[in-house]
Amino acid sequence: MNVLKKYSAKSVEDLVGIESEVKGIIDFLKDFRVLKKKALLLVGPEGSGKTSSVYAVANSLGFDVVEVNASDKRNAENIKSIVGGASKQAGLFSKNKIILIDEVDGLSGNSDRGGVREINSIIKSTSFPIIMTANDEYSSRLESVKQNSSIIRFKKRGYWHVYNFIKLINDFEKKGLSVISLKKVASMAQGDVRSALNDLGNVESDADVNELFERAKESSIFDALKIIFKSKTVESLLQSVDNLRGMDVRDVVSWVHGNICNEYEKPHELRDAYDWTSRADVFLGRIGRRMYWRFLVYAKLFSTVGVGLSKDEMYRKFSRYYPPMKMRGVSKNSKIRAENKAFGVEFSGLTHCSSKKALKEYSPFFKKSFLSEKGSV
Amino acid sequence: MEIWTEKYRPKHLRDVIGQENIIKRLDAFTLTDSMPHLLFAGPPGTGKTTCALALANDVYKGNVKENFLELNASDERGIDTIRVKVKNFARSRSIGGVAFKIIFLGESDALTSDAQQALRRTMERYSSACRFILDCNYPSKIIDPIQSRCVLFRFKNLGKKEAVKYLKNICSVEKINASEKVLELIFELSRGDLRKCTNILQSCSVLSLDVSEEIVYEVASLAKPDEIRKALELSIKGDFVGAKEMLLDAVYKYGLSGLDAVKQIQSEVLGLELSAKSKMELIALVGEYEFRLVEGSDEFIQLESLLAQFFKRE
Repeated sequence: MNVLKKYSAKSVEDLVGIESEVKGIIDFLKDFRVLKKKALLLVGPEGSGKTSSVYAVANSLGFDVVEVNASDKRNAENIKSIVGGASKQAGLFSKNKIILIDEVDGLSGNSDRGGVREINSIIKSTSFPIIMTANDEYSSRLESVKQNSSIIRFKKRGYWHVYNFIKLINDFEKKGLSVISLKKVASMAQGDVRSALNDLGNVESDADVNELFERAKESSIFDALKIIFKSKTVESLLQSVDNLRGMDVRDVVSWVHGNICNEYEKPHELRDAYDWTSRADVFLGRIGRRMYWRFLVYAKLFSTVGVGLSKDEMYRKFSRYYPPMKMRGVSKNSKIRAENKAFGVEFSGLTHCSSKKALKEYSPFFKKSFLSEKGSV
Repeated sequence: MEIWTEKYRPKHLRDVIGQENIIKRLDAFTLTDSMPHLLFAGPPGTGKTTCALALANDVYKGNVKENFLELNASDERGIDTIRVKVKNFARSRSIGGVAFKIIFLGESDALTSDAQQALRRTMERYSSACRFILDCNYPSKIIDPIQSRCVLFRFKNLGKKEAVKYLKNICSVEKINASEKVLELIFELSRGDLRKCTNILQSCSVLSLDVSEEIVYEVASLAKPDEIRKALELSIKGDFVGAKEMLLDAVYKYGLSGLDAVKQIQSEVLGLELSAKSKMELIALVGEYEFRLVEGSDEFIQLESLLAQFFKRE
């Protein structure tokens, strides 16, 4: 059986750590008849427990759930027929119903045309409680819906909450993953319980976890680069910082630095962006010298928010991002470096210079003949 | 391979050219049996190492090997290695009836000030048995306590006359045909650096024993990689990716340190085809980035960021 289904919350007691949010839902259902706003909007990041709470509460209180989620086509017509229908008729055995519209901020502009307007009109006339979920509270599609609903905000789950949860399941299922692996899974999830459960369901051994972890790291830097280069507001740029949690700031700086020229085209943008990574690097240098780790904050903000705000407008082009130059150029340059080293050692012995100085002073004149001599030996 | 800078390095103080005052004072040490610590400061190719070697040769006659230790501050890994080597060297008595041994520490301005503090104690400890000759480009980089223990000799760039005379001697031995004008050109291009003069002359002679001005220009351009100027020009023209690759290639090819590269960028700025105002702004930026290079952690990030500041300037 799918781990996700098996360990989803069955009743209110299973909902650990979000008690106050759950109480809000229960209150809404109990007071529904006297409430003015006939809909409830649950907002919060993925895997914070919005949908599971609705089902668990429904289970405990004896409600049926009629769900419309993003996989259904949700234009005005469909919503009217599914939700509108459900909102009028009483359940056959007079059991109470909850109408759940999942991911309302995901209503798409074209194929879900008129969906939002229809939802609003249903909210006004419904005889059953309507609960909606959304990730992005500030989505423009939600503006009118928000006025007709009460809002409950779910927060990201803490790292330890996720860790304890998957540890429990690991023991229960006798998967036998190491503590380190569990911690990796928990940190990858970044507060998203569902994704942690999914990951856990898909791995059999510590090696699997490692592979997953490396892939996640790569993809999280690509996601972050996309945000940095494509968004313009401080809020979403800060989200890129969030995405990078757990990554070495040095890597972040060099990834961002290495990709600026793949995105920005205007002179002042390019100059400003590189100026920010340069400043970030200065702080990295200062950390190294003084062991003062708080400087990391600046290195991180400069290389993400600083670089992101260097653009006037988002470029509406498809950009490919690459690993930093340094990693790509290593093999090509290692040959030159080896040659230089051999030259330096040989000439420093001959000329009373250090190898570095010998390389600088003599290699322009002697390197060619040095190499051809070496080659013939 | 024969390297002319070594082949024609003067063996005795009396043969050293150009630094008459210094030679006179150094020569005095070979007659008496006492010598202080010495600090040789001056630009490259002016005879600092040569003087140290010649002095040792004149003092110890045949026994140089046993009494003279040459160390290089930038090659010896850290002050500890230097200390151990000095200790082992100083332990045995000097040979040949001279009261002291000589330790020559080249490129000593490469030592950090902490390392110099350690060096100072080492100098004090072994000063009864050893004399130190420190060599550096900038005496200001040597900490005061060491400076005050040394007699400072300031080496100046060679004059044209002396350098040309020296090159003429090489030409006659190596059977090279070069006019006075050509030799003067070599001197001008090397800015008084006799090592560079000799290297240029040797490289020219490989191409042809009749050295012409054209050959000199061709060879001299080797010494100053024009990749860096080209990289700046590419960035100004708007090809930043190309500029970046050019710069990195130059850095690897010539084994430049980040600071070497910045120094060269700075020297190129005034020659670029830009408005005077842009040039001044860029020089200010180069200064800022040289500072960041010293403070920062990754030379490549700083170099590329500096290169980006040239992007599409007018």
